[in-house]
Amino acid sequence: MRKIKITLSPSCSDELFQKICNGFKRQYPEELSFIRANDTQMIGGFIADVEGEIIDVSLNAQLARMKDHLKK
Amino acid sequence: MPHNSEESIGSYLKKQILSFEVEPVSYSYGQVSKTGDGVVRVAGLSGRKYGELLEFEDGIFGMALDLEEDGVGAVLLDISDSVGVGDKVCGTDRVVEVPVGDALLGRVVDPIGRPLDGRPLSARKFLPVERPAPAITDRRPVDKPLQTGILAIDSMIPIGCGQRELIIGDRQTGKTTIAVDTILQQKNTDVYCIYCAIGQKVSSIIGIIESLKQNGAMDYTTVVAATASDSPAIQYLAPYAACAMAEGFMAEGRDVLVVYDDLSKHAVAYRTMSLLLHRPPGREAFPGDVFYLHSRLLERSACMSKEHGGGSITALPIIETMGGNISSFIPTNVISITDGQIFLEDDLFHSGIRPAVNTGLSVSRVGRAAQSPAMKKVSGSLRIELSQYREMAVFSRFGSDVDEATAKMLHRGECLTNLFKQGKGSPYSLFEEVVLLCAYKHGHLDAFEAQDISHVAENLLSFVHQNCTTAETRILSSGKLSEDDEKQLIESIRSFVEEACQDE
Repeated sequence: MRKIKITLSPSCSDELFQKICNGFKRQYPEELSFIRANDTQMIGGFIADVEGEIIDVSLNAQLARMKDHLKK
Repeated sequence: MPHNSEESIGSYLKKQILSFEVEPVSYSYGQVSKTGDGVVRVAGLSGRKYGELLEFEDGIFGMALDLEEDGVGAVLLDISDSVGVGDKVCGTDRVVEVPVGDALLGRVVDPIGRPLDGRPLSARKFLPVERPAPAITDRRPVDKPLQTGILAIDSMIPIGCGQRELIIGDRQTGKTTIAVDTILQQKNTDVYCIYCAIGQKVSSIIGIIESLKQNGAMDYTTVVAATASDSPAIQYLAPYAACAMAEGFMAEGRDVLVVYDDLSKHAVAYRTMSLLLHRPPGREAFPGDVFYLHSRLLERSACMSKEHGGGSITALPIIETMGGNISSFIPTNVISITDGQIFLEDDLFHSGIRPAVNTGLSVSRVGRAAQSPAMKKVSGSLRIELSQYREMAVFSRFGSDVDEATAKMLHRGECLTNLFKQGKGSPYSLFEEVVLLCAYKHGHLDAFEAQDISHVAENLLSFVHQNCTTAETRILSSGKLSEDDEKQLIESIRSFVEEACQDE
């Protein structure tokens, strides 16, 4: 069973969390178990830790990328 | 980038933001499973490259050296107690790189390019510390001399641009002095210098930097320092970092001199790292690839062909021996890699012969191809004469009577030995070396006592500097000794000797 830890803003609803889990179920064929973690620093989006791989779709990361993009 | 109004800046920023594509950021990570003594085992993190920079929590960096199916063995580049079991480690997809370019001149940096002299360093270009050596067809033979300013070396063990000449000897025999004097000699030339200190005491490195500053050598020199208190990984990287910086200059068509001081400590640091990484120990507990450790470093020193920039890297690696044993493991390895060696003897040093060069065991495999025409003209038979003198000197110690010819040979040999004595930090120019050897070759120094030769040489040089300025300019600019210049020098030397003898 593959464990996936999803870190979200505390203000994200359970419904949104469930949608994210369903998205991963479509991507990975094997059985998945999900853990939710809250991060008060997160503005939006989520960070998924898929057993050794990080998928960062948080707004914090995107803003940092945009900052680098504007610097160039 | 617009410069005029707020509206145009605003519209520019809006355009940049609208063109920005939102993409997920994904990367793999591992977890520290074991840590200690600067070595870390990371579980997971597959797909990394050898020598890849790994980032730990708290901004600590390490280098991947052992790639296994289920993990990575890495060494920390900073001494840190903050890395613990369970910490996350990410790959960076880049190998260890160092800054290159003119921004490095006059600076003191560590092996990963961080400044140690208290000023920021901004470089535009970076090169990986590990790079392949130039191909055979990209090189040209060594034919341009590199003056060391040390008479014994320039006359009998000449070094050329692109050569690797090992300096080997016991502790406190003047190895670093020869290297530093060579750096000082490059003032007013186009040669850039890099001094790489590996495992040295901080006080020693500071002394060398001060010496370079006082002689104006820091303007064209970079110091790469990995002190004795730095981690074995940093000491291991130091010579490769120095070489990468030199390659940055060589790519611009420059001649570069790199001093590796010293590779014995480098081998010890590599042994420490390898043992901690549980690599199987071989002879003297060194890992099996300790030869490759130095061969891949020194092969990067080359003389490039005109089509590839025409630059060169001359390497002066230093090896410390124990008890004068040049047949031990690491010295024999490096002797077989380099294009010659300058062997410094403890006995010679303590008997007052400094630099303590054993001319019998020292050799330059490039030889006269790396000597200026002027030096070739005056230094022809020096090795043979010294060799004959050493043989005859053994008999003279028994107090036996010798014939006139032998007595003359002994006197000339003793004069030559004393002529080669040189003070620390006092390199000779090519002109000065030619004058001294010209005086010796034509027998003008035979009139003096052997123990007075150093004093005579000093006076001779100041006399000739005043009286042969045109010859000096010609010799320094062309490297040749024309017949007219030689006649002028001989006349001048003869005048000096006559005056000196009259004074006595």
